Amino acid sequence: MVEVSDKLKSEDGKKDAFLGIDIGSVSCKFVLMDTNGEVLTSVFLRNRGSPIDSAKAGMAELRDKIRAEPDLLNYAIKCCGTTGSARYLTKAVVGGDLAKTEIIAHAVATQSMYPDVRTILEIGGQDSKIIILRDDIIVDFAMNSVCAAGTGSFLDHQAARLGIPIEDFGDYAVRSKNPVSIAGRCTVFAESDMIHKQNAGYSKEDIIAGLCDSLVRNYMNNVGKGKELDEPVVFQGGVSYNKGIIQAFERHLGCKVIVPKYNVLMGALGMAILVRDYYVEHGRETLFRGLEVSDIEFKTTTFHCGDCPNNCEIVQVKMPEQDNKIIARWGSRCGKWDQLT
Amino acid sequence: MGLSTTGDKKRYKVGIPRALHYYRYYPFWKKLLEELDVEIVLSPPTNKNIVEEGVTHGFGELCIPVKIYYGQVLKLVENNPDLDFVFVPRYVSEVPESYFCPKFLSLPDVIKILPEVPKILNFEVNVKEFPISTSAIELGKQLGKGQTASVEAYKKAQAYFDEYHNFLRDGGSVNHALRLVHRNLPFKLPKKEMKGDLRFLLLGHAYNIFDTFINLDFIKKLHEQGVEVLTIENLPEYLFKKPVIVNPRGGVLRNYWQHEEEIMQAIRFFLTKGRAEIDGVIFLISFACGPDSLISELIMRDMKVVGLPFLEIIMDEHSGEAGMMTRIESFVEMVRRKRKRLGLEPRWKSKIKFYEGT
Repeated sequence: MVEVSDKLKSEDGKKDAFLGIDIGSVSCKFVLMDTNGEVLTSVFLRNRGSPIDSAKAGMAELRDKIRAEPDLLNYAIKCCGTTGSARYLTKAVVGGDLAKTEIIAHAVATQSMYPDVRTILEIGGQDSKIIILRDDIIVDFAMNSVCAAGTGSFLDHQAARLGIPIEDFGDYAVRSKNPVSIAGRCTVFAESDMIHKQNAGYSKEDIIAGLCDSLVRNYMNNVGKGKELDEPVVFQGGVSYNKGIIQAFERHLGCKVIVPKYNVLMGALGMAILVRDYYVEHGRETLFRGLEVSDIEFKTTTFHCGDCPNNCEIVQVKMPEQDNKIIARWGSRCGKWDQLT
Repeated sequence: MGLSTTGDKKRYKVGIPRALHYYRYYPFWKKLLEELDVEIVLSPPTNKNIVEEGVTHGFGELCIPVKIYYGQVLKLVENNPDLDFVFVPRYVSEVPESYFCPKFLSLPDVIKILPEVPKILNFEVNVKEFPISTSAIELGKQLGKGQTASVEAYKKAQAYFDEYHNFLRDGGSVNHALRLVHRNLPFKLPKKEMKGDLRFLLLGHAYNIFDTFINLDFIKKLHEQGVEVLTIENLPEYLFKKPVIVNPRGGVLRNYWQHEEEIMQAIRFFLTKGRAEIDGVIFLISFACGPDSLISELIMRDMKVVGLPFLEIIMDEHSGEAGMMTRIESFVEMVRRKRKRLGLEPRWKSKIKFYEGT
């Protein structure tokens, strides 16, 4: 069994392991990594209602995987880090030592595999980002703003509408000989454009290829706006499974687009690397609650503050098994509820 | 008309909405109106309820600061049914070369549409047509004051406004200074000074960067990340004397919009002599702001040339805290990692060197 190490020095025979957790808008990822940066095991799950449920479900699955593999029993988790839009909530729940943004985590992971990377494209379920690196240093980044056009959720929706499993989406696009042109500015327009083209009798292959093209165009205009996209270009995130999109990117950029081995796990992997470095630098005792976190009950409650006209909605996370101890609380603009006592 | 009386004197009660140009001119207006013997009421700081009201009454194409202005006017009227006037100035042009955004030009006309708005006290600034002293005389007329009294009031207001600007240039923050103005306190820097290991220049319209509700207390968020914040109000006057020529080769192409011109003028300093004085630039833009989106592109290109990290943040009424935090944290971390990687020490001193008068 992988244990949580409560000592700073390695216990007899146990090797160090580091856990990175990335809870995004659609899925959650867990990576267990050793000191050398090798991925020991990983978990990828669709989100379960709330980040807390997702974190617990992921922990349970991680525990099962570790139990099934005797090799992993020789490791002890030294440090745990969280990233993704739910990084602070997850950190509070699992007892994370460090929380960093997705931008940093993704860049760190990619750099560990491709040290000379200059452009990182990332398209996930709800958001997309671009990271520009020069000489090993992140120099610029951008994320999609309010508009979630051209992300995984949209592709999911269109796949369902066309009656094609999302896994086959890329294959359809690749088979197309004459991609139709689809409006790329906005997915609402893209959808109606697609329906017109469908009703006009164009093949699914050509429509899907056209859609991939318009999605990439949208990404370039929205997220990649004004940036110099130099080689090597690495493409990651859930959408990087889609061959159609990869090809469309290559057409647009006129260069090869690399998809890393752990394309959907990069955020979690980056976080594992970040906590390893954090551990090496600071050598602190971990706050990690252990994989048994999946058995601990957490309760979130919300209330309206009501002390001023803003009437902020305050969220708090409690542990009912420990006298309803409040482990996290936020949501107030003025900050008066941020203190836990 | 409900004139309030103090002793034998009748004083008008004038409401000022805490929005848009409030963040730029409030000390001037306050002094001017008080010298004209007016009782001033200010609407409360922006809150959720004010934004909701403003969004309901503003049509979709408007930027959020104008919608907030609507909300602030309505709140002002609701809280003070006995107002004689609402002060809605019309700023057309403050320097002969440039204009304010059309939304400022039409403000008094548009505000009339809102329900139950009392008489509007107009103050038209248009130096292309007439000097500001004339604007003051026109303002005085509406309040039953003579020419001499109005010009006197204008002079005093301008002197006070200069004092206010000097305080900002000495390092006072706008929100701190406005609080002092509101409470009639002398200009004094706070004892506790914010110290950080990074210093960013925060660009944007004053009503975007100092309305702490709509920008989710952006400056405080930067402070919490250990970042000192500089705004263009803190920069010396001489930087704003020389016009920015956008395209030197294509003849004299100048900025048409005043705010944007000021931002570009400030940027010029940091592109050249002031390069080492800051670690990064953040531009806070409200969604649908045409002028800002235009210069944002220009600034981005300039920043690339000198290698200063640049972040553009677009905000709107539904700005989520999480999205903004991710951007701020990533940006701050990016700059820190860069510095660590290159083994750089902060190059700036506690006080900026401006090479006065050059």
